[in-house]
Amino acid sequence: MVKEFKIPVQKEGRFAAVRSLFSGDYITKRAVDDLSFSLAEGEIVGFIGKNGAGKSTTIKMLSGILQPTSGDITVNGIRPFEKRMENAKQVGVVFGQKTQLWWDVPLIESYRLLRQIYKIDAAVYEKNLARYIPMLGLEEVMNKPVRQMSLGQRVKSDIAAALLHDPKLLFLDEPTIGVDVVSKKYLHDFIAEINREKGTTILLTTHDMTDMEKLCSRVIVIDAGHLMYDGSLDNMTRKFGATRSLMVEFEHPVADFSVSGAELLKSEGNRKWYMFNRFDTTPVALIRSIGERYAIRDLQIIEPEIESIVRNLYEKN
Amino acid sequence: MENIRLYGGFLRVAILGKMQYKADFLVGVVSVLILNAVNLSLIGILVYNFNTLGNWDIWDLLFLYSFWMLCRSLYGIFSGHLSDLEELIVSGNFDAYLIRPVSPFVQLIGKDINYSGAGDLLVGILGFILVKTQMDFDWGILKWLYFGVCVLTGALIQVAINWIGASLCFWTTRSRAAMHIAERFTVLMQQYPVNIFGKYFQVFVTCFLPVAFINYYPSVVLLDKTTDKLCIWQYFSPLVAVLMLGIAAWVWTKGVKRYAGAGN
Amino acid sequence: MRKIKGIDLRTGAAFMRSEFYNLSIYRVSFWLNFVYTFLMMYSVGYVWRALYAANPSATGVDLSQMISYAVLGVALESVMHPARGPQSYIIEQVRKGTIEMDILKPIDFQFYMFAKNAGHMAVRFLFLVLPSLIAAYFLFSLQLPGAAELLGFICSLLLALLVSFYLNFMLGLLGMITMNIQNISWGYNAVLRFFSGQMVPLWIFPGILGVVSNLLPFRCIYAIPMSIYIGNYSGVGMLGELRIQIIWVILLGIASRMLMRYVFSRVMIQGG
Repeated sequence: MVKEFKIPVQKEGRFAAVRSLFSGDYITKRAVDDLSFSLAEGEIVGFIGKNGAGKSTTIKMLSGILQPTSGDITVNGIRPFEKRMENAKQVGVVFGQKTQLWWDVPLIESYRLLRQIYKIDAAVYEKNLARYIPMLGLEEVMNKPVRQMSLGQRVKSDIAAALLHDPKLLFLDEPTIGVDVVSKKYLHDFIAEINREKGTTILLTTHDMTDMEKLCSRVIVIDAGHLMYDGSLDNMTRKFGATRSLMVEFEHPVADFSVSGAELLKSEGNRKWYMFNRFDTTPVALIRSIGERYAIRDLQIIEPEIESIVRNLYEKN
Repeated sequence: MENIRLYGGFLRVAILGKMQYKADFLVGVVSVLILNAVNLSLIGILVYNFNTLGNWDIWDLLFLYSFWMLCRSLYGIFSGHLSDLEELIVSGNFDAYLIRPVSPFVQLIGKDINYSGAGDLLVGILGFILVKTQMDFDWGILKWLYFGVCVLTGALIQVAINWIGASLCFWTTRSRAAMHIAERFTVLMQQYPVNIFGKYFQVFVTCFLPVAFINYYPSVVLLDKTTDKLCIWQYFSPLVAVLMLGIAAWVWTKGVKRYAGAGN
Repeated sequence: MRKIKGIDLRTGAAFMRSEFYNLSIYRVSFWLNFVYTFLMMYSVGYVWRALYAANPSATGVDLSQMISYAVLGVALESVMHPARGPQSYIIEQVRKGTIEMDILKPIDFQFYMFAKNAGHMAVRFLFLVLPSLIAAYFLFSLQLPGAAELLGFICSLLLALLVSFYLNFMLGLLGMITMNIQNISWGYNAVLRFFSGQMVPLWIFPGILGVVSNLLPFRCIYAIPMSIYIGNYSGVGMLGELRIQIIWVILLGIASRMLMRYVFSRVMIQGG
C-alpha cells in the first residue's frame, strides 16, 4: 500500500509572502511507500521504525481513518476505508499520546457510553469489566475523570476501553511512551494475557525494546515508508542488535583495563562502560572477571535502542 | 432512530462533564444577557434618535430581534459547538471519531451542550411577551403554528450555515475565523430589517447566505409588513431549511472523505 | 539600555514577519476576512442611509460624515477586535500549560506580548484595512480628512492601539488565574462595542448613558480617533481628546504592570 500527503511549502524569493496569498505550493510526500505485510491470527507483532517512518499512518489506514492512495488493505476480510463502521466493530485502537475517553467524566461513564456505541451485550460487558479492572489495577480510578489521571492510569484505561467490545484485532500506537515502570508491567502482563485468552491479534508500535522482548515474537521494521525487516525478533536482535553494554561502578577509582570479550567504551569517574556481543559472552561472565580484580559497587546492563537497531539494518541493507 | 439513542448517550456524558464547571455556566448566561442588552440598547438609541428604521418602528424591531433570539437559542444550545471541529482536526482528535462505529456527525453534535444559550432564550421570550402586550396582535391558530414552525426552521437554517462553515476546515484546516465572520455578519443582518440594505443585499441574504429566512421573512409575514408586491418566497423558510440541511450534509460527507484522503 | 532596545526592535520585526506568514498560510481565511470587511462597510452604510431618510438632522453631522464614521468603525474593528488581542495567545498557552516558558523568557513579558501583537496588527492593517479603505473611498465616497485632522487621527489611532492593548492584556492576565476567559470575553466585547462608539456614535447617546461612556476608557479606542477623522473637533478640542487618551494610556499602563506583578506571583506559587 502507498499513502501520499500533500504538504504546503513556503514560497521563496521576492514578495514570496504576497504571492502566497494567491496560490499555494505543495510537495507530495510518500509517508508509506509500497509497504506490504500480513498478520496471522492471534499474533503479536511489533511494528517499529524511527519517528515519521510511517507507523502511525499505517495504523490509521488499518483502522479506516485514512484511505490508501493506492494499494489494498483488508482487515479480517473487510476493506477498512470502504466499510469504516463495520471495521470499527472488529478492531480496537489505542493511541498512546491521545486519549479516546471522555475527558471530564468519571471513567465508568466513558465505558457505559462505549457499551452503548458498540452495542455490547450486558453480560459480555460485565464480564469484560470484571476481568479487566483487577488485571490493570483500575479499581481506584473508575470514578475519576480522565483529566485527573496519571499517564499510566490513562493508558491502562484506554486499553481496557479498546477491548470492551472484544475486537479481533488491537492496534496499539506507542502505548508505553512515557508510562511509569509499574504501569508498564501491568500493560505487558495484560496484553500478553488477553492475547493468550482471546486470541486477539495485536499490532504494536513502540520505541521500547522491553515491550518487544516481553510481547512480540515477530517484528516489522519500516523506514521512510519502506519495509526494512519482517521476521522473528530473535533473528533481528541476533543480526542487528547483538551489541549490549555493561556499566560498572567501582568502589574506588581504577585505571582503564581490558576484559576479554568486551571493549571499553568510556570511563567517567568511578564508572566504566564496556560493549560486548550477546552471542560471544554473557554479562555474568564479564561481571565475574571484572569482580575478581576490583570491588564493584553497582552495575547496569544497557540494551541497544531500537534506533540503533534500525540504523544497523539500514547500513547493512 | 439508533443515532438519536446514541445522541442521547453522548449528550448525557457531555452534561455530566459540564457539571464540573458551574461558575462558567453563570458567567456564560450573564455574558449573553449583557450582549443582548447591548444589542438592544444600540437599536434603541438609534430609534430614539430617528424614530423609525425604514417602515419598522421600535416594536417591530423588537419583534424581529426576539424572533431571532428564539431561533438562536435553539441553535446555540444544541449546536453552538460546531465550530470546535477546527480544533478537533488541528489536534488530530477527530481521528477518534472515525474509529468508532458511529456517525462522526452524531459524535460532534453530541460532544457538548451550551447552557449559555439559555440567556438568548430568556431574552427571546421576554422580548416576545413585551411586544405582544404592546402590539396586541391577534393571531389565529394557523399563524401561531406558522410562528412555531418558523422558529424551528430558523434555528435549523442557522445550524446548516454553521455546519457548512465548520466543514470548510476539512479543506482549509482553519474555519473558525470564517465562521466567526459569518456569525458577525449574520448578527448585523438579523437585527435590522433586510429591506433597508437595498436590492443587492436582499438578493445576497436571500439566495446565497439565506439568513433572511431565519427571522426577516417570517416576521414580514407575521407582522403583515408586505408593502411591496406579494413575494411568494416569504413563505419559503421551511423549504430553505430542508434544502440547506441537505447541502450541509453533502458538504460534510465530502469533507470527511477528504479528511481520510488527505490526512494531516 | 540602547543595546536592549536594538534587540527588541529586531524581535518586533521578526514577529511581524512570522505574523505575515500566519496570515498567508490561511489564504482562504484572509480572503474571507477581506470580503467580510467589505460587506460590513457596505451594510452599515445602508443602515445609516435608512435612518437618515427618516430624520436627516438627528445626529448633527451630515450623512456622508456619518457614513465615513461607520465605515472607519468597521475597518478599525478588523484590527482592534478583542479576538485579535494578546489574550487569545495567552489563554492558549495557559491551556497548553506552556505559559511559564513565556513568562521566564529573558524579555519582559508585557513587551513580548506587545511586540507579537503589534506585528499582527501592522500586518492586518497593511493588507486588510488599507485596501478596504481605499476601496471604500471610491465606492462609498469616504471623506478624506484635512491635514490637521489626518495628523490628529494618526496620533489618536496609535494611542487607541495602546489603550486597546492594555485592556486586552489585562484580560489575558485574568485568564491566567481563571483558566477560561471565553465567557468573560463575550461580556467584555459587548461592553466594548457599546461604550466605544464603534457602531453608534456616543454623542447621540441619551442622558446618563452619554455621561457613563465619557467616564470609561473604551471611547479612546474607537470614538476619539474616528470623531477626529470626520472633523468633529477643532484644534483645541482635538488636543483635549488626545490628552484624555494619553491619561488613559498612562493609567492603564500602570494598572497592567501592577496586575501583571500580582498575577505572576500567584501563578508562580501555584506552579510551585
